[in-house]
Amino acid sequence: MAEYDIPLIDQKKCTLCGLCVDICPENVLAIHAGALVFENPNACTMCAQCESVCPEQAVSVYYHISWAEKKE
Amino acid sequence: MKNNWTGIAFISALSLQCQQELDACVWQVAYRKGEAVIWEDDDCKALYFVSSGVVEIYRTAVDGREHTLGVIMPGQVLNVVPVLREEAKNPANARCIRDTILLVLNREDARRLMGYFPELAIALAAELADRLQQMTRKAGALALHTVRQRLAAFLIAEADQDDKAPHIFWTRDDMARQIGTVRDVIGRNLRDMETEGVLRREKGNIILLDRVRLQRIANGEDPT
Repeated sequence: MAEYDIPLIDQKKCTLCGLCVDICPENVLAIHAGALVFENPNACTMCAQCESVCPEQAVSVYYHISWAEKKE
Repeated sequence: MKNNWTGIAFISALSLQCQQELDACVWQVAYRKGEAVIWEDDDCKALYFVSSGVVEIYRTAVDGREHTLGVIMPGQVLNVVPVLREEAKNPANARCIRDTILLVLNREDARRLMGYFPELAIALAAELADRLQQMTRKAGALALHTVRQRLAAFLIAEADQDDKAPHIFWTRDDMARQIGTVRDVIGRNLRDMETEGVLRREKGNIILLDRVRLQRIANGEDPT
């Protein structure tokens, strides 16, 4: 799994509120031993709902920017 | 040559003797993603040629906000300014945003070699001229363009990157640092552009759909 295939978590900003865990449709995230972790990273679809819901801006999704392919 | 200069087009324009002298003086250093290369206001120790990877140049405000001044790609040179100036302080910070290999030439050797080989000085001056042109455009955009315009211009420039250039993956914070704003404003503007149909976001990709419309936004011609 490439590092850009899952969001970046800033553990210093994370308050373990669990909102991202609740909102994730693929159950990728979990809180274990006082930290937010990727329990199921391969299931991540980069939908970015975790980024949107985080009140502390602790979650960041990586984006690749490109042009849409032209259709023939 | 003891170092790998592949991809550093800069060197191929120099005479063989200059290349050999340069090669004898540089040494290779590997950096991991996130590692700092230089810090703002530290004494300038060296000039760096980017062999592989990507280096971000940025400055920091007293409240911790960062602004990205530029991104240095393979083949380009880092930290030319303090090598050429008598006051040898690094003007900005530099950190690697990917695993990176730099060829390092210390400041004294750089100045000595420029004295012996004017072609080296001219080549470095050309690098500086390119950088200054970019900075001039950036300063103008920061002063005169809205965030929406700057974001559209950034998205176009990124998508237009050569396929041979390393792919850079951007978080909203990274984009905000590049264009001089904050992450929330990036998010709002991306949402607006998506609603307008000029781009689509899916699974970690920002896919640009309408070049003409995006360019009009970047030029300030779009009435929205």
